[in-house]
Amino acid sequence: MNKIVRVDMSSQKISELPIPAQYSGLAGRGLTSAIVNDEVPPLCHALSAQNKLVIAPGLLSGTIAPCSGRLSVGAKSPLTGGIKESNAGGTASQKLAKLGIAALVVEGQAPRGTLWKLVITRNKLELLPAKDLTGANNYKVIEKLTKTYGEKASYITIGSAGERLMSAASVAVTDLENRPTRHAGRGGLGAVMGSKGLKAIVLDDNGAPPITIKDQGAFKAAAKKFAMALKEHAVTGKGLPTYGTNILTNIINEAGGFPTRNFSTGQFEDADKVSGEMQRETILKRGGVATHPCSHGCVIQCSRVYMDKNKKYLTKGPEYETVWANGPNCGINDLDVIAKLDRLYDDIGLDTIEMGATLAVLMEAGYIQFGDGAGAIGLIKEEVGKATPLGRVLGSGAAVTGQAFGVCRVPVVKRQALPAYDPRSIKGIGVTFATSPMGADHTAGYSITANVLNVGGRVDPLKPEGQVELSRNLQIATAAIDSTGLCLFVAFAVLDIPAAFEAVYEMINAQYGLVLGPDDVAALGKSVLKCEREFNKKAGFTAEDDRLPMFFETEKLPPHNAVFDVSHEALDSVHNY
Amino acid sequence: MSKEVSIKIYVKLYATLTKYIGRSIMHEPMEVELVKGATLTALYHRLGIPGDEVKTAFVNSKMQSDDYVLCDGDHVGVFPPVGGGCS
Ligand code: SF4
Repeated sequence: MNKIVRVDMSSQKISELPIPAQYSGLAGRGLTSAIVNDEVPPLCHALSAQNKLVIAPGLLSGTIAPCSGRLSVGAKSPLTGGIKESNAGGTASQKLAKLGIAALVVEGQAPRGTLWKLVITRNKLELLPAKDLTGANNYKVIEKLTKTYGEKASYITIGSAGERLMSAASVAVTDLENRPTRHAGRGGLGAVMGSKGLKAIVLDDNGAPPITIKDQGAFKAAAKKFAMALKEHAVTGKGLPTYGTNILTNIINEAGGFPTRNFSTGQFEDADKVSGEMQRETILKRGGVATHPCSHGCVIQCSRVYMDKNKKYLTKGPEYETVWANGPNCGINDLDVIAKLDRLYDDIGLDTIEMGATLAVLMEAGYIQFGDGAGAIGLIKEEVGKATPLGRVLGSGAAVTGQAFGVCRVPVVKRQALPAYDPRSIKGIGVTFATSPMGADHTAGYSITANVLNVGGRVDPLKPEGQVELSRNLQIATAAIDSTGLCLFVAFAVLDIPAAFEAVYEMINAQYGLVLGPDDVAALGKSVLKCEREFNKKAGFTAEDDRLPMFFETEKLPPHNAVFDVSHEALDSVHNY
Repeated sequence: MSKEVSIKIYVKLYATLTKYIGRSIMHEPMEVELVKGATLTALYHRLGIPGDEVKTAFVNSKMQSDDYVLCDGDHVGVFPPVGGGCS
């Protein structure tokens, strides 16, 4: 990974440059955020030619390091107006790394009415017209592209929502079965790609040489040590492979932190009907796959393949946050309805969390009733899918929808919808939601670990004490992990097993000939967050943007009748390091 | 067990723990009668769940440790190590 590829959509010129010295040691989120901060005018409109879409594999991507296939996608977000890094699995990250590309920077804007695909092979970089893909959704796009470029290539695409510049649009990445199921969902990056006039990126690494590893022996040993720790830890070795991420439904519900019917209560009476246990039974009964990797070399395998009632492929997962957003948060207790919505989101190219939160806000407005699954499916298919005026409002996310329909209880921070955990009864995650430069994002500092799961220590979720430190440390660690290409799920083992943490920097050291230690990992995380906050500040964000909506401080959440009571001063101290 | 010295609680086991009651999934809580003063550890013992397989237990939605003394009418949810959600 030694070059940066720049694609100027205005002139359709492509250039390849060696990675500049100032970015050495950066990859993944560290690199996307640095480039966005250095090159994107913070006050630009996110859908204008001045914004840049930056796509980068992680430091370890493309190697045999277990679970190292995560891809970082960055830009100024049309949803939040701040910096964004959204992360996806699938096969693209490893292919980019093997093609030697540290970052792909898409800049400028194609002439109106034109649509393009970028095709990258070992010897060639080409921008080709893609008019035939106009208006197509992701599954169709993949079907068409596969006819030309084959099943072995990797595809990064947008559906119709991205082309239509909706702020909830995602960037899709194909999985091992060549399906567009892994998405950089958050923050509307699909709309940024659409605004550039770029419909698809094709990555074919056929014939590309293997990644250079400075010390093969040490690398293999560290990778083995890492894989063993992942197998040994009960969550990464057993819980996630058996039940997938939706194992969380029951435990978050038991803890009283399961936002139900647009965050009006913390427990859902039908949680068991949409739980991971139920999902596993349903998947196995219908001949689906209950333990499945989303990319090569994943040893955890939290992904799954979901079949419909006729035992035909419907969609992946769905993941916990998708199940929550479109299920209990909408008063819906039917896994098949949720799976159909998931399929529609993957196809149209939408963030499953933002859209579920949006539907719940619309239900709160009384436009359709809580629990109306058929109504929800109809709205996504007929309104958002067809970009009617109502569909465009919904496709702009929960904040816009709440505003359009006069709803007060709109669960967003920096205009991005809160995921799956109520900050009143799980306060550590509330600190992350409030203070992450990304807007409300659970992955930015997953305090659920110590608050509920008893991983990486224990901090009482109902008390304000200790939450700031918990969230701060996790935000720092996460910013570093997001730069490695490692799937964040490795964190369960990394937090509990010292050998797993050691193995992470040992792998990086062996690959690049470095001598990093634990302190360097933390320093990397801090520098990434600093750079992201610097961009947000220049874009107009202040301390007051690091707050939860006020209803979390005033409306009591049953069953604990808790409010979010971490003080504003404490929130302002999160990024003191 | 005479009424005065026994309590009734309602228990739900989750994920892999349901195997100890011979099921793959539990939709409804089950009623368990225990002597007054029984702790969560005693409950695990009664149900044949090895203590080291329990990671987290909630009593009436609050996380409690193994030495928690159960009260009549308590709702208990018991989990093995679980995690996810950060991807
Ligand atoms: S743990 Fe899950 S999300 Fe992470 S790489 Fe493996 S299958 Fe993908």
